[in-house]
Amino acid sequence: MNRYIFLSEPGNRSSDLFFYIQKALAEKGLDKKIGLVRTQNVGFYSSMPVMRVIPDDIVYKDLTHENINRIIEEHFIHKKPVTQLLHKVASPYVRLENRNEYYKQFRIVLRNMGCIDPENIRDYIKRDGYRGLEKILKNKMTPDDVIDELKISGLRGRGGAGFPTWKKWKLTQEVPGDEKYVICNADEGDPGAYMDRSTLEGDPHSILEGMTIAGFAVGSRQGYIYIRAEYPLAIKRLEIAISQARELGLLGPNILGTDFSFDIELRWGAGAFVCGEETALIASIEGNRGMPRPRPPYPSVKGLWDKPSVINNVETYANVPVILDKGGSWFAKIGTETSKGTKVFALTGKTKNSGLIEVPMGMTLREIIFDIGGGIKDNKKIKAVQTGGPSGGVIPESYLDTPVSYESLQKLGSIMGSGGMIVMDEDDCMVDVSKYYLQFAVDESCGKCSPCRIGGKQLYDLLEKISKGSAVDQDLDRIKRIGQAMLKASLCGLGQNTPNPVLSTLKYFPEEYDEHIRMKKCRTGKCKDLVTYLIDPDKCIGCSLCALRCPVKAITGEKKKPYFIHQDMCIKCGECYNVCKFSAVKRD
Amino acid sequence: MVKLNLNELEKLRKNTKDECSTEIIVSMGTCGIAAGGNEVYDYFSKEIVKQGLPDVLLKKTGCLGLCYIEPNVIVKTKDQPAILYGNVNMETAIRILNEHVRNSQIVNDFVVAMPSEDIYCLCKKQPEKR
Repeated sequence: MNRYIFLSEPGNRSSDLFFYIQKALAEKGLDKKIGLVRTQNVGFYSSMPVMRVIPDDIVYKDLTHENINRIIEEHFIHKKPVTQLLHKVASPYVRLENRNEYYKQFRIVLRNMGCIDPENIRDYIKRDGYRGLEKILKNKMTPDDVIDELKISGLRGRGGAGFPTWKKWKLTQEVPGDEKYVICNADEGDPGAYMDRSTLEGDPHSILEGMTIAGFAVGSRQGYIYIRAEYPLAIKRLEIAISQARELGLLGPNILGTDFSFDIELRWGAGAFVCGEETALIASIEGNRGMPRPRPPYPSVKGLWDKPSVINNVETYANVPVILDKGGSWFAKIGTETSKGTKVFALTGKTKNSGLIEVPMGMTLREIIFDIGGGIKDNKKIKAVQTGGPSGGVIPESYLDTPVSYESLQKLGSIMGSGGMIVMDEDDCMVDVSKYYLQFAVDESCGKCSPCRIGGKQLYDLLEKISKGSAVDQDLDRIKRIGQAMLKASLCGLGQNTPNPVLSTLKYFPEEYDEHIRMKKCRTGKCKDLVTYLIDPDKCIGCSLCALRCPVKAITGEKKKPYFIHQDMCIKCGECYNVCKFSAVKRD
Repeated sequence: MVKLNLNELEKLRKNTKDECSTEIIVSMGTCGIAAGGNEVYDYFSKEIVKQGLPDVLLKKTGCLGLCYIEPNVIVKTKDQPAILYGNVNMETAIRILNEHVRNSQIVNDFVVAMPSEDIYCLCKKQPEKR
């Protein structure tokens, strides 16, 4: 075999295309030379079926019988690719020469996933690991050179706020004194987000290298990784990685025989969401209660133990070695004008293919959800997508063609956040979703400042009223007023962003709020107090399926006669509604 | 291990060669383990010893991002492209070992296309001749 065809077909894979190609290859006597493999595809959903030819690594679309014959004739016999049938999907936001044009995703942070053993430092070194650091020390770069390289790259903080990384480092570097700290924020807590966990579990050395480079740039000798204790595997792999790096002289005193010394220790977080806020995180490392303090002074100037400290999140550090290795201008060729590079998202919710993805900045949300995510489960309609977790907002279907960048998402009332992306379909109630996020924020508020402590609870109570059907029109104004106050007066990002989910749903889905308040209805059935399930006696044939499925035995009846739901027992789970094949169960 | 100096790192990078002609790589992030990656890994490690396959290297790796089809297994053999399998249960693992690893027969129904290009070494183990 010297070539392989990877065929991807939509849905069930028993179509005749596979056999047609198999036959066509055999007729030309190519079946011994060309292997035919069926694959599930990742990333070409809108244009399936497609076939990828390996090792040429090109993709063909429009696979009619006629075209297949042509591809076999021209590509496999005459060795000339059929240019008209090529399926190029690469984003215009990656402006690199020689790049492969057949992939939607572009992986920098996730570069080693699936290739290296995270518990073996040699695997990382073999794939150009520690080469960024090596370059700095070998070429005798100065800290300013390193910061300049970052400036050229345009890297911005991946924790959500998007502050230029070089500026942060520069601020710390400029403060005199030799006691400075480098901190990695691995206190990932957004519901549905796990980018940092996967990066730490899959490629711990990239973080260590990134932090070491930061240490060199700002003049620090000590780094801390603040990681959630709920990530035992990531902690274990980090500990292994740190000890291996120390053994090889890549961490510790006199790194690679030079006079630069840097070491890293882990600090475990106890699971408070607010400790992801940088000043609270620092307080927690110091052994104090994790509560934010007013800024300025910013940690870059006065941070851990009142010393200048650089804090970046996991994904930011993972980008750094590649920038130093390949150069800032290489990195700047990826992404949009103001947002450079790639972004990792944890794509979850109602999408078919949930998982971790990395795309160049500038790709639209629609491409992410439909081409990479494969669209919505059970062929339902998409309603909205939530980015940025409890601090972010909801973006409705009509804005899905927005390119992903810090500015564009902010303009829509959401934020980039650390990378959680939750897809919602027509079964999700926007009031219920907002209530969920508010509940989370209320639970996690540290209680130090009153706008967050009291405002969050008030907002939650108002939403509770709406979902119970006891709200009045003025309550919406109250929500907006409290939201604005929290935005302006809260001490830290947690409080300032707590109203985001409710304010953005209110902005884009006012009709759903209206329905809840005026008509006392919830169209999705999620707000249980506003729903009644009834059986239509004209449609019910008495099959008893709903009665069998009912978890609280609230449905009774005789076979072949209409069944009846006892409202006093019903818990409104909707199981009967979903299971009825005759649409006899009504949701009202 | 001895501490490296500036020149030795590059040497180590160049000299780290693949010791085995075949690699089985199991995705073992939290998601992979939760979906049963551990069992699949244990099965391979036992069978490699039992069946005497010194030329097969078993490796763990982190999350590939394809959480919806965990556990994932990648098989790289000398003269085939790297093949990624999704939803690998024990039954599939047995087939992968017997058909693909031992006999170079790709197990057709469980193959998944790689999701992205690789900025460092796009599947180095692919055959080079065109």
